[in-house]
Amino acid sequence: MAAVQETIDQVRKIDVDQYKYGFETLIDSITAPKGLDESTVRFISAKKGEPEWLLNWRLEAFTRWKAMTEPTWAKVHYPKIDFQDLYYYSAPKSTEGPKSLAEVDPELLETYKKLGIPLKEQEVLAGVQGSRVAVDAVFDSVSVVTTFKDELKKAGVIFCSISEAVREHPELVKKYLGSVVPQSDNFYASLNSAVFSDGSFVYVPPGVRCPMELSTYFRINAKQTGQFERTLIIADRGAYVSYLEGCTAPMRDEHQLHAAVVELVALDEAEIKYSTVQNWYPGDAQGKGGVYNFVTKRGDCRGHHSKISWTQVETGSAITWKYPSCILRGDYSRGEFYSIAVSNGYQQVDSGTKMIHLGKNSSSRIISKGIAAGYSQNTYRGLVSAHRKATNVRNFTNCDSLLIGDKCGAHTVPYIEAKNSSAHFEHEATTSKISDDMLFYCRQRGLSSEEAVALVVNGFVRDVLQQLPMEFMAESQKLIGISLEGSVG
Amino acid sequence: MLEIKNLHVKLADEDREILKGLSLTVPKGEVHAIMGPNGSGKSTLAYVLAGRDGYEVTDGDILWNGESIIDMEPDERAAKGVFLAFQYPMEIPGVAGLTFLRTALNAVRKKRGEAELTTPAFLKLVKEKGQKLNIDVDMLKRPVNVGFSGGEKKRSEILQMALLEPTLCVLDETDSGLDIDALRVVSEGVNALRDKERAFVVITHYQRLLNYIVPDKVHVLADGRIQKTGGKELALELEKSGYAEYTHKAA
Amino acid sequence: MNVAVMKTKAEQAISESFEAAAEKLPGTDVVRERRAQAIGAFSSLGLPHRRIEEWKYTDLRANVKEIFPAALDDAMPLTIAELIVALGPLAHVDAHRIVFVNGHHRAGLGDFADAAGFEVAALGELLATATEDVSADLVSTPEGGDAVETLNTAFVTDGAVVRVTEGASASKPLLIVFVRTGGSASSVAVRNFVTVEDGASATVIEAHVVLPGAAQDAQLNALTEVTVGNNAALHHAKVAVDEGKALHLTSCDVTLSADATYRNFQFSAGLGLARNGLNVIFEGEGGKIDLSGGYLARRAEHIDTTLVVDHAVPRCESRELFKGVLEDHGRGVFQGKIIVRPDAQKTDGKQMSQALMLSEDAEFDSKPELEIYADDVVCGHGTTVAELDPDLLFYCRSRGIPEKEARALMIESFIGEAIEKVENEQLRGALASYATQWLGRSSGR
Repeated sequence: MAAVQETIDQVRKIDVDQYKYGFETLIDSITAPKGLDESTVRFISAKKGEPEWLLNWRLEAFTRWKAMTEPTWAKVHYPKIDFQDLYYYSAPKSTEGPKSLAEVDPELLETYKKLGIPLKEQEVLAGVQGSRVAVDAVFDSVSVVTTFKDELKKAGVIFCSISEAVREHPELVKKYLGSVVPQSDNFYASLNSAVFSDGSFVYVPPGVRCPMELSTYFRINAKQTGQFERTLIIADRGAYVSYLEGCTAPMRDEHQLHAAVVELVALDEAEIKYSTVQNWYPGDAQGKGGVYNFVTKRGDCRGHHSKISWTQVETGSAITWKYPSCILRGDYSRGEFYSIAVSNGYQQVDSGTKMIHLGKNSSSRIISKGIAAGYSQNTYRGLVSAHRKATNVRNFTNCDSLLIGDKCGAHTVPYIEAKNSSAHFEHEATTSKISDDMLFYCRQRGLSSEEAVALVVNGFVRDVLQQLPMEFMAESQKLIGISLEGSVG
Repeated sequence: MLEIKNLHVKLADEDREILKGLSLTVPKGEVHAIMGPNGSGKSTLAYVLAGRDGYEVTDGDILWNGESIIDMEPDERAAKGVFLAFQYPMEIPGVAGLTFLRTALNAVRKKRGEAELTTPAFLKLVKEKGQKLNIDVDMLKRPVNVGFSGGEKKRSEILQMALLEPTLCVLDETDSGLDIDALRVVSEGVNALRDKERAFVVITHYQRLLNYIVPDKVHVLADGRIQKTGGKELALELEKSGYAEYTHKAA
Repeated sequence: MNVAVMKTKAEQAISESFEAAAEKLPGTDVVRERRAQAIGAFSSLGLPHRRIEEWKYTDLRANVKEIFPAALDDAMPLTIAELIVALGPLAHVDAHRIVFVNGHHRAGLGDFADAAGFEVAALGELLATATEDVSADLVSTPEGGDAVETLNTAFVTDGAVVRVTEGASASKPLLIVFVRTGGSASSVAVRNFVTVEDGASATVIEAHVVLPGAAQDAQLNALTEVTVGNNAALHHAKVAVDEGKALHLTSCDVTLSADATYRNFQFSAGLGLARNGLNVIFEGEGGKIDLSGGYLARRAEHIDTTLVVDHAVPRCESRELFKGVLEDHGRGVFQGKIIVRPDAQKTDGKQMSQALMLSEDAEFDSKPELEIYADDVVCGHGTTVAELDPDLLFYCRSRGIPEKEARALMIESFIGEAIEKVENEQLRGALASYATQWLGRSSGR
């Protein structure tokens, strides 16, 4: 019973008015002048001391972006964003110059401590979970610290901020940046390509199994500042890496823009497991404030037998617009997408995935669980396609929605395109509320109605929660407010 | 007479050899049991006898009544009298059992140079066979095996066998998933079909089935080869001592 | 976005065709006005193309290259014997019938004067005599109508106007037959109205058939408006069988009152490029629908089934099952949307769409969609795409059934599951015969 009670408490915590990461860090920052033009792009590039090729790459993206219009096909509604009324770069003053943990502003360390993110390696070692996680902490536009770098280096794994990667490993960045999400991919990806400030970079060399979980923690702090991080992960032949990103933002009345790009590349027989626990500020109970989360995430299973697995727990943001996808280019490659999207208050979620089967015998699996409550709208949008030459591809899709309350909406918009007769696709979707019979059964056995709901919701998302790395189970539980009912372990 | 000579079989898209020089002779009128541990190649043997895709015979031969059947299509083999009772009979949604059986029976009859049966004659035959086997033919009005219990599926297999009148019956783990009553009905069906013109290959993991279908000979299949041959008492022996001896020998 | 899109040759030809035909199309001044407005609306809409979400997979702008002249006269002779040949297996369905030849009513071939429970008339004749108000109702574009429905308003010549009177229970089905004959390529637009009054019930079968030897180049635009009253029931079927080249655009808009029942079965075979649109809206509580269909496509045929089921009120039930068999370069498209409006509680909606792919070059695109704004609902959809199950094939063959026959048996059983949905036994038999014929003509493998 204790576990159930815990669940109820946690469900309460996700109530939008109880966002516990909403504090603001008061810290001196250096910002780019408000607005966006070519000089903003040059400013960012110069701030980061970037080489000429990258500046040109950014400028090309900016030119493309200017000619584009915002996409309108998603089932989300919001007032038009004034892209000139935003700051595109903000960095804590203290992060200028080279940094070790000792040099990091104590104010920042305090922030991460409050967020529950361990940045001191010895603290991590002493942590209750007993397992180690390397963290890259990104605060507004810059990476403030990356932990366990040395130990990872011994294994040959490169884990650093993308700015550092541009300096230290330009050949890798040049080779892979934009190779999965091109500069002209879509409106927000182009914007990101022009003004991205920081993000994480991971390279796992051939045959190496990354010795620990990698993680990036994103924090938007500054006012009216867009966050445009860029993450690039490459798993070379036979390599394996598991990576998790988490994110939070202070409670603010105005909306904040977050337009990230994540690119994953898996070569022959490599595997990347990418998990997201997204908890940007969702806005208040009246729908005021909150982050606009317009994100492009894509993985390229470039090699044969490669595998990319996306797991996402989406609880935050006023608007979520993201479709972590897999291009299954390699023969026998495999893509997976596991998602829990919880929306409450006036949140709007339009999320899903694309599984593009280009390689022979490639397979994919999609499990999506949407829970809509309050006045929220929760949409699953997905594409599964088999190319003409991709023989024997398989997909199984299951997307279920659960409605709590009669003012919310749950929508399912899958596209299924089979251009090859040997494709074997199965798609199923259901939408329901928690059945009265089920609730009655639970209550007859002595559970309160809240306990019964918690129990049923638990069961509903269980398949997906099990996909998260063990190390992050606790955090995810906290965020989603749902306990696992003994399935951990 | 069934003669399997030095049969080597591998999966078509893998290099692993499953049957490694299996030889076996089953004369007409006899029932031979093939027993063996999991993964010994029992089901492969059943499928190769029936001609399923996905297996490659790399060496050896299978003769049925002196004629090699390894290059024949599955339906040609059926016409030659080969019948495989599946471990997991397929469900065919939307095809009534009667339609399926009539189509099969007439196809086989045609290939055997016999006249096709008219619908009334066919229905009469089905009823007759059903009665003999104590099987309710009403189940044939439903789509083939759809929603059938494990026992019903096996009964439907036996009824198909009785109708198609094969001369070589291969039973692949027919006892799996059956309770004792269903096992009895199925075994009685098989026994009723025992005939001096008909050979049976009964593949099973457990001795239990052989209490009901008493074999003339028992062969132990392990590591893709017949390791030992004996009378029905060999099955009892195996029940006591297990397959360890043979798997070790194989290793 | 749509700034001065260049008109395609076909779009230009449609406007020209209208100008040539306008004088000869039936109807009084108010009808003329409606038609002129419609062609005006079409000019700004243009032919639907892939950038319009609802037409994503069926791009008429790219695929309709030329426009055939509107069939304006009904001079082509057709005997009863020829009608029976054109009907094929459908001739065995015992039904009253109203017959249209190249889009024009042919009284001599019909048999509906004494159809118990039905009041049947031809739209063309009504337009010649009706009052302005009635005419205006008969020739208007349904609310939310798209470019195809708009074109129907502009060009419609004839069709069946059917009423099933209050409380009547029509025992014999009504067969509305549209026959194409004659050697020249033509374009036909027809519109039917089926109104089932409170407490009445009936079966209506709409058939689009071809007399062998008729021109294969043809364009059809058919719109059927259905209203089912309180506690009324309609069993509706549309059978379209052609020879592989015709453009076949049909829409069916259905409105259901309280406790009404509506069943619809769509059978399509041999259609060159087809769009079967079906929009159902529940306007009274307790309504029930069952929409199903089977389609067979080979060569380069393209069959699109697009459904929108709008649960606007509580306590309604919808069931959908569509199955397609695709061979050669055949392409199937299925779009099925279930909308549950706020407050439409206790909605029960289920949908299934399945495609069987018989050749490497076949293609299937599916977009099942749920849009749900009420919580006390049970809704679901499923889609499967697969080729013939090799294990099933082996099973059949191990029972002595040769491969070709085993394949046919399995394809028949696949499509048969959909045909099972048809309640009229004779119609079910006729559809099964069509499927068997189609398989007989199959190139096989």
